[in-house]
Amino acid sequence: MNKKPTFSLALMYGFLIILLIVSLVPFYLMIINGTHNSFDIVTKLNLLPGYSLKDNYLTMQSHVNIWRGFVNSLCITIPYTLLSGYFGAMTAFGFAKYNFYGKKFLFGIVMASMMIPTQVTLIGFYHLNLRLGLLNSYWPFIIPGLANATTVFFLRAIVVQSISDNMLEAARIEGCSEGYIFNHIVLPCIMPGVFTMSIFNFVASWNNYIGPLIIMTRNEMYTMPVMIAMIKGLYLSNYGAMYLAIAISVIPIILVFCFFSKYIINGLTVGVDK
Amino acid sequence: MCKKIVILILTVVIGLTLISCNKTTTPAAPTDKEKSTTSEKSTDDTSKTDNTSQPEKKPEILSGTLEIWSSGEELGRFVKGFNEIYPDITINITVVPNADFIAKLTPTLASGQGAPDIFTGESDYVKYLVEAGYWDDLRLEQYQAKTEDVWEYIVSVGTDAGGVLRALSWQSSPGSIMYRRDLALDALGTDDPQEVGAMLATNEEMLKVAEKLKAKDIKMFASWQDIFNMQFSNRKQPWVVDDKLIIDDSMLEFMDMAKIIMEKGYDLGVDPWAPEWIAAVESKDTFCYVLPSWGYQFVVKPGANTTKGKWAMCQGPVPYVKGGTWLGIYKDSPNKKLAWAFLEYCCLNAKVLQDYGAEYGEFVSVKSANHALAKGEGEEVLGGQNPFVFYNEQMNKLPADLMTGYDGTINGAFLSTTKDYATGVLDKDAAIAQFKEDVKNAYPDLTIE
Repeated sequence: MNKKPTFSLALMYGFLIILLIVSLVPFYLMIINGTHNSFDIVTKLNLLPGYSLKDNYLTMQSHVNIWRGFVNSLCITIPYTLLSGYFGAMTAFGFAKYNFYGKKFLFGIVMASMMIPTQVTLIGFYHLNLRLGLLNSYWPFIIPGLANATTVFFLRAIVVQSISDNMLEAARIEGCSEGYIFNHIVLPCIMPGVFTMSIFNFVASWNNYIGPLIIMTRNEMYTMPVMIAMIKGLYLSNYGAMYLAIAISVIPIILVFCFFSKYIINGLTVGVDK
Repeated sequence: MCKKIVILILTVVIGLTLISCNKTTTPAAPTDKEKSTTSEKSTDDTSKTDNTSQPEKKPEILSGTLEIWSSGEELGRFVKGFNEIYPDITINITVVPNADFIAKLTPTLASGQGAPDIFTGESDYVKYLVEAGYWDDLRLEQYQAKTEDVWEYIVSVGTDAGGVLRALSWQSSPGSIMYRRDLALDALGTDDPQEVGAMLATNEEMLKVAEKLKAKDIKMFASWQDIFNMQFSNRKQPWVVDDKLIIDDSMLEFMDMAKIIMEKGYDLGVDPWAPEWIAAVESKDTFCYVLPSWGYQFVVKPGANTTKGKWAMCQGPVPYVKGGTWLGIYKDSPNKKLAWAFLEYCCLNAKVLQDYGAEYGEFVSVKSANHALAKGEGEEVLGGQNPFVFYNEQMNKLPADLMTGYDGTINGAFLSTTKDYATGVLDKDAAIAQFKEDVKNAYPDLTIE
């Protein structure tokens, strides 16, 4: 009686530890490879730190100014994530809780826009920004955060599920304006959903490669993914420097996950009717 | 309160639309460009008067900023020397990853705004750019490119169907088979480039040598795909003639050869640029790479450490060229004078190119510079062989230039279906049908039989 749970517990822990190793090893190798030279990376499996960190750093900096790229990426990603979270929630609230003429049609547009791949719209996107005079600026990547279809779609379902009409009516009777209701009642209730979408939006925006490559023509405006691609070069293979740059570029993503994931866990108890 | 907010938002939105409409109706781009051209004109005029009073030699005082888009970093090597002659010209080189170069270039050239003054064209798509007419004619009065001393091949690739010279290069990339002397001595009984070259004079003989090496547990090739570099020059016709896809017989032969190599295990079984492929420079059992001059400069030379001096170059079944990057001046550039100064400096200046070749070991586009470099000492990695002597010979034996604007995409499709055939996924007819299908998808306008 006593033995059985220990055994199954051990089995469970063993399994989880294996899963942990499987998911951590690639990250570990990526960081370790950043300290080896290209030749060691292609010939050996490196498990211990090497001595080429400084060389790799210098190679990397000789090609691009990685910290500038880091700042550029942050300048785009943070406003984009905030905008898409806030306005996505607002639009979702509108679609979920108000009845107005053409609602179905408008929501149809939101759904349809989710189905068009970005590659298709790339040339149009370029021309739009050309006419607006927004080439070589961060705006083309920040403003679309105002209208993020996926976020709207996802949060609408959450609002429908977790915000009851009774509560809104109660708030109106108490004299709250619609804006106040959204900011002080709806938004806090669906925060876990907003955080979840924000993680996705953050990662998608951080990893956007083709957009900044096409829109920006000035080296110093490039974002991290473009800079990493520039390190590679045409014939050269600076694997060490690339690994180092990738390791640097992954830091914010890991931080965002660590920071936001606790809200997602809280999100399991989302809603007001408990 | 609520109404006020709505009104505010509406005003902002309407205001924004008005602003953007305004921008579309009054084209922003031309005004921008006009400004720069007018400002440029004034400097141009002053420099022109300079030019007429002092003919040649003494460089005119040019100033301004030159925007260059390049698919590789090598151009940056010229900047320092160039600035010693023209200290007032600032050069901005934007390196765009080669795979996305055309994707970035096309919308910019179509709109004309923010376009670079000079941009490069890598061999895979240089013909497309040459024919597209975005590059200026380099024989115009303001340039008058003198190309007698440039390899004919470079000029021929940079010339469009109408005979207009649009691009030049600082490098040229004749091919070789780079093999290991020690392994050759062991398995073939000689390490002399002439003798080894004679043993590899045809594709059949190459496979025979591969069999001999296999008996000693040596892989002949790093990757069978490398051989395509050479086979590319072994064709009688280019991929596309009169908008019709041509599959040369030699390409079909190459498919069979790839299959034999794959089945018998004459290569490492990896793709070029894979880590194992790069690491084979230092291996104990990989005999050769079939790569042009850039392969020596970027793969063998930097990779060779314990194998220094154990390498040599010889000719394979055919002399070949593969790769290279060309430079042209954007036809609507406001800085043509500056652009020409730079282009002339790195593509036509024999002295500069000789120093460049000596420093970086790159085979250059100007004959006299290469001949001068051929007199120098040999390479340590190649056991004293001077690659310039070898490349000069190869350049003289080159077959006609068979490049087309479709090459990059068609080569990719061909290699991928050949791989399917070689690994047994498809049989030969299916592979060829697949290849035709892929080409049709990429270029619906081509006639494919």
